[in-house]
Amino acid sequence: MAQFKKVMIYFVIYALFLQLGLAYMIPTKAVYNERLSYDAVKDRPTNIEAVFEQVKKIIDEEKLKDYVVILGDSVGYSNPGPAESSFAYFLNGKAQKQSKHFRVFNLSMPAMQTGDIYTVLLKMKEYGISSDHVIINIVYAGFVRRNPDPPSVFWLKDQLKEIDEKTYNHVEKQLLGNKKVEENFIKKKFGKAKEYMYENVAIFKYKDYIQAYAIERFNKVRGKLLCREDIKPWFQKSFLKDLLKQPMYQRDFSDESFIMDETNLQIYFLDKIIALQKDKDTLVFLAAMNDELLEKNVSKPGFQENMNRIDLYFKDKPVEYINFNKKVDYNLFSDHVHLTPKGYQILSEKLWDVLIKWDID
Amino acid sequence: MLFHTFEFFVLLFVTFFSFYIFPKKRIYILALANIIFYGASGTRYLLLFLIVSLITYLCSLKLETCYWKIFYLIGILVVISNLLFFKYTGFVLNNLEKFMRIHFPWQDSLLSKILLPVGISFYTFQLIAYLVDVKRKEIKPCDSFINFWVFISFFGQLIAGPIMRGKEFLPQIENLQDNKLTLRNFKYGFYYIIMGLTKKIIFADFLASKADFYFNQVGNLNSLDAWFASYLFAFQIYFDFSAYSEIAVGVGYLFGLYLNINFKSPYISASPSEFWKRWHITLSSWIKDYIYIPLGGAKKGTLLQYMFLIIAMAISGLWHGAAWTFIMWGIYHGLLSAFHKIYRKWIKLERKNSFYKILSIFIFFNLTTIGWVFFRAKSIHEAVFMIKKMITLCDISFSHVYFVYFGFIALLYGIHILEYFIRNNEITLKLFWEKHVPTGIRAAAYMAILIILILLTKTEESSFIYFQF
Repeated sequence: MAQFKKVMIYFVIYALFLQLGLAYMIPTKAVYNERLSYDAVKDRPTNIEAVFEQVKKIIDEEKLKDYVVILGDSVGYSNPGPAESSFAYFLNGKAQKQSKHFRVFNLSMPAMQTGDIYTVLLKMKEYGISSDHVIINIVYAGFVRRNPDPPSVFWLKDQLKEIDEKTYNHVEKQLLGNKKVEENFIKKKFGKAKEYMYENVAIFKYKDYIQAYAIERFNKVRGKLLCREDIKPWFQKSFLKDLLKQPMYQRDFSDESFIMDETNLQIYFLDKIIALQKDKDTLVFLAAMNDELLEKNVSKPGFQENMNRIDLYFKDKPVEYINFNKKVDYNLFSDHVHLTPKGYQILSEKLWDVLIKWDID
Repeated sequence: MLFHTFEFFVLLFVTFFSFYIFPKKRIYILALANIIFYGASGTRYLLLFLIVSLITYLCSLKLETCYWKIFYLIGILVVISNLLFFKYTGFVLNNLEKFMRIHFPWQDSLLSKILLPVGISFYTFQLIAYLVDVKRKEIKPCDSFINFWVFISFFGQLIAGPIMRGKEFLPQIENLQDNKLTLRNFKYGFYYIIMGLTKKIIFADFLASKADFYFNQVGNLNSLDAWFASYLFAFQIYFDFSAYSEIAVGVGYLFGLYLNINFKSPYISASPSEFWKRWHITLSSWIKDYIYIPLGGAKKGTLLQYMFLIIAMAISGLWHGAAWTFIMWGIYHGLLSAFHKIYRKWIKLERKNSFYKILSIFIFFNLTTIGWVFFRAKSIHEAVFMIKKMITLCDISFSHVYFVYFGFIALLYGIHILEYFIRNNEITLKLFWEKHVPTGIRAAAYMAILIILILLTKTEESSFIYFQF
């Protein structure tokens, strides 16, 4: 029995060590490498907690005074290219070249909606990550009527509920949409406890990242290259035109008149974001669209009117706003809205011109 | 609720502590834990399970009266109808349509509404055994429904066995208040749970994706691929199913309850009869006691005995799944058993010869592997196609990669033998571990195992194969 007690004591000590030390033992790159790991977060959105923790760790370790955070969807994330062709990579490279001390963090994630962006801003505050300098990417599709999809908070609805229940309650009906609510009382209760564990117990918080990192290292040793998404320019992808004819894509370029009040949840969340970012450096940019590929859609008068409505909305808002539409060479698109690595590099230059005017070093 | 999930461990943790903190309320604590465990799969099916259990319980109380035949019949009918309706309606209707060309217009809408309640096959067999045992006066009917409920629904073994009998398990349930938490039980409990989790998470889940890859393209397999796929599945199903049974045994130990070991290194069997004493032991003995012997067993002559064997095994196959592939798997094993009995009658060999023993194990392992093709294939057609390739070796395209593949199978077999060795030397190894390894290193080893298990658990939880039965 005495031996058993000793083993248990050691076991508890190791467990405590793991709980307190894992965040410092894990290579930051495993969790955050110029942007978050989409694969780890998409399967379990609570995994985003580890990203906040690691970004905060970098800020503290590097004693960063100034830094910029990019928030947005797949355009902000810089899909479909690798991390080495993303906004944060280019902007950090530029900052380094010019001997600037600030860093750029990218917390964008494909499919993020403005509701997710709002939630990330609240979470950043919770983790002590400053939102003094923020770049937000939005897309035309975000203003289109939701029917009921896509949900206005795509990934982080549980986090929003926890951190700002009032806002969550306001949008809950739309979030649940056609989705089936878990009716089983037992599963519901266990589900909540499980989420809590994944948010707070270190080994669970980092489990998916360690798994992915180990696989990546193993594959490197084996000389097996990871499958990358297709980063070719759009005109080399013959399937795109037919793909975009599908209703789910056509919805994204709808010419139906935008409703520009808070009944449109895009506006509801943008208003909240702008209020949250009061007196802070905030740049909102509207992603460009591939005019060549989407000619039939973008040439519609309704589409152009909607574009004007978006511009008008931002006209009096206390944020900087850039509408990149028609400002990006169509050769730089990899599809209808995403860019090639070269495209993201050029866009980074344009973002740099704005952020360099901010009071950051 | 799956064993390798957060939900299960929370339930286990809470139940374990409540069980020892409130010794007078133990039966209620276990009854509630069982309700939560099963209720997580669906409250409607929990209700169904409770009703079927209650009817069986009430019928069993009347088996000592002069109307026992009626109540026995009612009990058996309710229990079997429940299983037949939920598990075999689709199978029967589809076959009526296929062979008799009878089409029921309501068939699709009915089948879309019928979902198989988890663990129905297991609790059905346990309920039948209980009723038969009471009727045979081998046990007294349980006089408390809550005791009966805990016996029939113990969350450790409810969904995939081991199938417990009344005479083994009911006295343990009735004497719960006497159970003390001993260090031995605690250690054994965790030993079995960790052993089961390791088998499931490290081996079974890993092999599943590989086996699926091959079985999803049966048409493209050559003879060696077919053998490799079958070996993979043989080990996948072993690790998967024995994992569940071992976790069940471990859970039992934590509550001072002793469940039967269901698997004892089955692939070292040298004959069909030995295999069924090592594979899913509680099911094999159930089939023997409640089907094979009541049919006549060995008492009605050799020919009938073989026939009863084949019938009993076919029923066992059908119990596993409502498909012809499962029935064929059962018949195949029935035939193996019958042929082996004939062989033993005709050919007398010195059994102690170790070469003969190794050869027998090798041959029987490969025969079992062929049988698994029926179990895993999507259709009889696919199974026959694959087995034909395996037996005739008609399509061999050999390359050095098969050395790696079959080396991997040899490694799996080595692990299987290692498990056999560990099991047979449990106490010696335990003593060595405790005597020669410092406590700090032991604790580090336990922590390492825990971390590996957590890290290797898939994001999407994979079910146990036997949960579908």
